[in-house]
Amino acid sequence: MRNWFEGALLLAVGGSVSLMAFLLAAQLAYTGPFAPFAVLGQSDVQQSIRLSLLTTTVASLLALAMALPTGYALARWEFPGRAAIECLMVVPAIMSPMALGVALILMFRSGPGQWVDEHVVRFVFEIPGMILAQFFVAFALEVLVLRATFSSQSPRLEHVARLLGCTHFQAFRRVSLPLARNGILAAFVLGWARAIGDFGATSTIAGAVRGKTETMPVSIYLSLATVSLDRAVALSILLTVVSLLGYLAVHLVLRPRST
Amino acid sequence: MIEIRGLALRRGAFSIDGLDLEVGAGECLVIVGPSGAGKTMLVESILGIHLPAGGQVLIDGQEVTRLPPEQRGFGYVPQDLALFPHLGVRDNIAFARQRRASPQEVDRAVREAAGWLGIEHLLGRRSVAQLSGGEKQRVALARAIVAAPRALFLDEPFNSLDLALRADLYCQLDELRRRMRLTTVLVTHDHDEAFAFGDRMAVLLGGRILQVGTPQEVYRRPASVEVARLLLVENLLPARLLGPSRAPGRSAYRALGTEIEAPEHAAVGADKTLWLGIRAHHVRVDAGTKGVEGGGRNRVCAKVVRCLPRSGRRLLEVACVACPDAQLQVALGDCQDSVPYEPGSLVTVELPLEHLLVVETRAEDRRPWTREAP
Amino acid sequence: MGGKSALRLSSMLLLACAALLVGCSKRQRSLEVFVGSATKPVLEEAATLFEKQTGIKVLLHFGGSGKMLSELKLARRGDLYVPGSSDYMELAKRERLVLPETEKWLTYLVPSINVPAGNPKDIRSLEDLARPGIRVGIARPDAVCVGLYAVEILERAGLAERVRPNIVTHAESCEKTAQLVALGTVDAVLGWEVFEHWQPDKIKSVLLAPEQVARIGYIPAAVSVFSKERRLARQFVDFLVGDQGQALFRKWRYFASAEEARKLALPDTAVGGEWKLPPGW
Repeated sequence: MRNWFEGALLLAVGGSVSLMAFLLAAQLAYTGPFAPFAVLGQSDVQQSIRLSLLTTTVASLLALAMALPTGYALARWEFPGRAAIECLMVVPAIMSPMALGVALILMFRSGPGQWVDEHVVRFVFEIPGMILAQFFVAFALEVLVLRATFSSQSPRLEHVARLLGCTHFQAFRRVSLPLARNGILAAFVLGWARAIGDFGATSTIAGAVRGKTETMPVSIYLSLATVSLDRAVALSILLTVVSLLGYLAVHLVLRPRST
Repeated sequence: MIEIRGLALRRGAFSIDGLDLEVGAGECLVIVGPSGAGKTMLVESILGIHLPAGGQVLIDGQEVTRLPPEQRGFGYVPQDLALFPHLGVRDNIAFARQRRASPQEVDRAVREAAGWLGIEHLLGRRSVAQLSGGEKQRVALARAIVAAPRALFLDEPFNSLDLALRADLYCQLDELRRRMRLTTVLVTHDHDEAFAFGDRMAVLLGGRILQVGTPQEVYRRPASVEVARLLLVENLLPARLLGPSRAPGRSAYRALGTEIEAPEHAAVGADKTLWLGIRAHHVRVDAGTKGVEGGGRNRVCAKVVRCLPRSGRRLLEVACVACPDAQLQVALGDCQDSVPYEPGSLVTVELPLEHLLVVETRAEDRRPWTREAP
Repeated sequence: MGGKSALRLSSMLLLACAALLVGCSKRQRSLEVFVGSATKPVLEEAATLFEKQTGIKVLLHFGGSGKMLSELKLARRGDLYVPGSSDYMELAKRERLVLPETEKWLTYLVPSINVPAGNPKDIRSLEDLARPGIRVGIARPDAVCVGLYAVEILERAGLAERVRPNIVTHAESCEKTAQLVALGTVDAVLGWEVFEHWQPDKIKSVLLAPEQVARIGYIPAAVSVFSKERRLARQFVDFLVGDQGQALFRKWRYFASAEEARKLALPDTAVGGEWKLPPGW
């Protein structure tokens, strides 16, 4: 260590690692290392995990499908009021999740929202509602990351591709998209992580019906509500492990490339 | 082949207004201008990357102003080359043909282009990032050529290369051009390149084309002071036309506090502000004042201000005795190596008539006379 | 040089702030109360009044009764526990988190049907909840007291099978149950009669028939075992059961005594006690 700056860096890294380790260690110390596995054996817990994984993955993919073109457009097009529109996109990420949930309920309570809820797809208190809530929170984060990703690409690459015969879409597909691979990965992982941990928005619009709309975070909350602390902590560790595995899966299968 | 009429463009603080330009089939037009003159902007609007605010772009008489870039059939090598970082050398070069021709056809085209530019040995490389400047340049060129463009646009292609490499590439590019009979537009701030390649040369400054002609024409007869400065005419002296001289085709001018004989300048009224220009290496200098006393034509007495070392020859800065504000730059020849030319010593300066340029002031050229050429 | 002195200055400032905070907290005596949301409006007013009269600051934590108890247990701190229903106090006593001898009953709650203001679906009785197309919500019966009461009421009235298909959601807390009708998300919930007085312009209570009221709930308060200010805590509890406190409860339309509550039920309706949730719920 040659100077104070590098010392400070070391301190920061060491500090962060220690904090994360303490978090996990404190939980494990409370329940013991076997409690999470014991709880995993229960069928309602398995159902809760399955539901969380299913809704989160669907929501994050849908969010990605929409965030990709949105982030690209925001990065490439210049128009007055662009900054304002970007702020609007980010609102679900900065809103309190509970507030978001209430906003979603109000959306379906009257007018076109109500018509859709009654005649097309039932959102309130149903799984589509959970996916919708998770979609909102994932989308806001994903669009931020993707916009930054596409902004960092030189527009000239696309121009050259077009002059080599590509239409705008072909240039996007053959040049901009492959170059954005790492950013897309990061966006998806971020959105997924945010969605799987969401409680306020999903529980408000979907309720907490056991076996139907009980996600992992809801299970944890309900355990606290019944003062089953061991179960709450065990579930919490389980959720952390599940999220970690998801993160690793995405990274191992779709290896981020260094360009 | 390419015709630009009244092009107008506005981006940010920069604007082009009513620009006209023509490029003939098979010719190489070099657009010369200082950095910031709008060369890249101009090229990119011809290519269709930026939509112009007004004016037309025509190819072989057909208007293409609103046509998207992919339908214009132009090739482009931008200043930063814009090689695709996620593709290897081969895939970069093959990009234009990749989805459109059979693999054998693509392979043949790639090999041919690589062969012309001497980069076959690079075809196997998986990444373009590790290539040297010259290698990247050639890959970018090969990529543009494989698309079999109607015309090739090059933006400062040799900017980042060292001189030895430049010489190499000049040859290769020229040969390629002639072999393919490719219409080329080359944009640069280096006028040596204009001479190396250009069939014709256009001078661009401040969003306007100031002069178009063969490089020799522009060099010998700059249309205005701005052009002369751009072409590094180091000495520009304000002068006033006195009248026709005794010899035909010559006129007398008042400059440097004395009468100077210089070529006649057509379409000039008396008392119009003119400049006499002469390049530093054309000015002759002799120690002592014998030359002036002897009554020679176009000779003035001057005092040495300083002597600056340069690569090859020394540069002398002298101030006229009769007109101390006027300073001249003189590039010393090799045979004058032994003469010391101490500051303060007197010398005779001769401005040979055959090398004098008579340049007009345009309405826009109102900048004060400067000692150093830009 | 600039870096080092900046670092020194900022660490000194941090220490100074910390010292100030520690000092501040010791100066004013305070109580920390964990409250189930069922009595939020009353406790807030009571705390302000109590502080004005005694100079003791009362810090209130609001949340689901179970969650509040969890926090008390995990953090091992707090002076007073005021859950929204009796079964949580029983749980607290079983877990030895409160001092049983300090328990006092503050007020009484009567379960009822709650509907959005204006009663759009014209619900008048428990049977109406079984009408086709009616959307009913209850609290999670295994986690929230008012949910358990709802199930007991339905089972005892023999309407469980008919109403159950109409139950579209379980809310995870007492206040979420009230929110369901306040936002008009469902047509009716089985909650507390006092919900109406929390948001009179949004919620209306439709009383159950007296024999349908399975039991009357009460709200207890007790001093926590972790309290370091037991005397002060008892003082606050006495304040709540005293005239001033009871006046506040009455103001917010809670029932001050079992007799008042029984007016909406039968004279022999049980107050509190426990009931086991049948399997299948």
